[in-house]
Amino acid sequence: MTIYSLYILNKAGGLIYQQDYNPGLLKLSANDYLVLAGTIHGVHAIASKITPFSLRDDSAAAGQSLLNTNSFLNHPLPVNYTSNKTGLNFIQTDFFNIYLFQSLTGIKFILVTSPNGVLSNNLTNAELILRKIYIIFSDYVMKNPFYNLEMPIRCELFDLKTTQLLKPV
Amino acid sequence: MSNSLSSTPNKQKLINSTCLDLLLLEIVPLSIRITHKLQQENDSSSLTTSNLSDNKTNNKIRIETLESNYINNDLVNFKVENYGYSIGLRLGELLSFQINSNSLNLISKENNNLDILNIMKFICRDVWKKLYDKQMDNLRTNHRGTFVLIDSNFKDLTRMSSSKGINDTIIKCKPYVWFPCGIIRGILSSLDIDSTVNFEITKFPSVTFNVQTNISG
Repeated sequence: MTIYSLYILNKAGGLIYQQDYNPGLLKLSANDYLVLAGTIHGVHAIASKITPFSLRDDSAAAGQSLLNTNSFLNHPLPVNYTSNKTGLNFIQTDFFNIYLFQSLTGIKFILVTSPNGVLSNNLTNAELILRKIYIIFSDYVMKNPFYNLEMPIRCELFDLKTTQLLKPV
Repeated sequence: MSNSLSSTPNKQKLINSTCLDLLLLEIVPLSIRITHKLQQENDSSSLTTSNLSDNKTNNKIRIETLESNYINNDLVNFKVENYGYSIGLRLGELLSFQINSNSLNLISKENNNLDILNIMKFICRDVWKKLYDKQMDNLRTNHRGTFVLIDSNFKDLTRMSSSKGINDTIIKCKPYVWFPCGIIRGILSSLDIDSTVNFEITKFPSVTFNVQTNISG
């Protein structure tokens, strides 16, 4: 699975970060990136409204078993960690996959990847990567006193750390 | 400060060190806001005929703290340093009590005076370990009361990055470094040593603390 691109949306659906890590996608204009981000935000909101209640519980339980098996956080996960249980989790096409993770505070991390590989493996991988990105975000964006909340992320350290994670050496 | 200082080893209570990180981030904006407010109050009390519809009064509500010209203002730095000082005073009491069992002797055996070199080692090892989960990387002295403590990867600075580049980061991070300066001064003060503490940032995020004491070691 190759990671093409990472998007981060603030809770209002505004694009606060966009970075391409591997070649494979065409560059869009700045405005198109914003439109794309807004569209995903809207679709996610609609999807979370139309998720049936029965399915919500199922996916929460599924998410739990999926995440409990990984140990990179090295401590028990909090009770309400799966804020991702409703709405859009992933989109799969012949040409690319999109994985979404929404934090409890409403920040969305979106990963665009290549489509190859077995579905369940890819999903686990993508979830792991998204959680690692969330950790980097917490450390290098939220703990950076010079970052304005909800504003675009312009932080060299964050660029550096995500590139180290997502770009194969 | 990943573990609580006062409890016994087997009943240690843990606190997330992120709490301290986030709290420390607020020190500088808070000091800037307080300084700004105090100065405005001073200004308005000195002016007997102030214009009520003055546009400038609107600035009171919102001040872009870190972009303001209060950054590296002496009053702000003094405030931040003082926060560190009062914490250093308490920390000095607590830790010097706690390490009593340790091998480190703060009082020299020969003349019953405080051993300044061991005290600086105590700051570099025990204090820094408690506060930043690491030791100072280097300690130098001229044996006449001046000490140079170097932390080549100062934890508070490792996550700072301004969007305007490294030079802007260095300018803006300086008020934050006054806090550990105050801690060092406070700890020395709790052991009855007067000192002045300065710092230099030559190669970000490395910080060099210059400690000038009144005792010749």
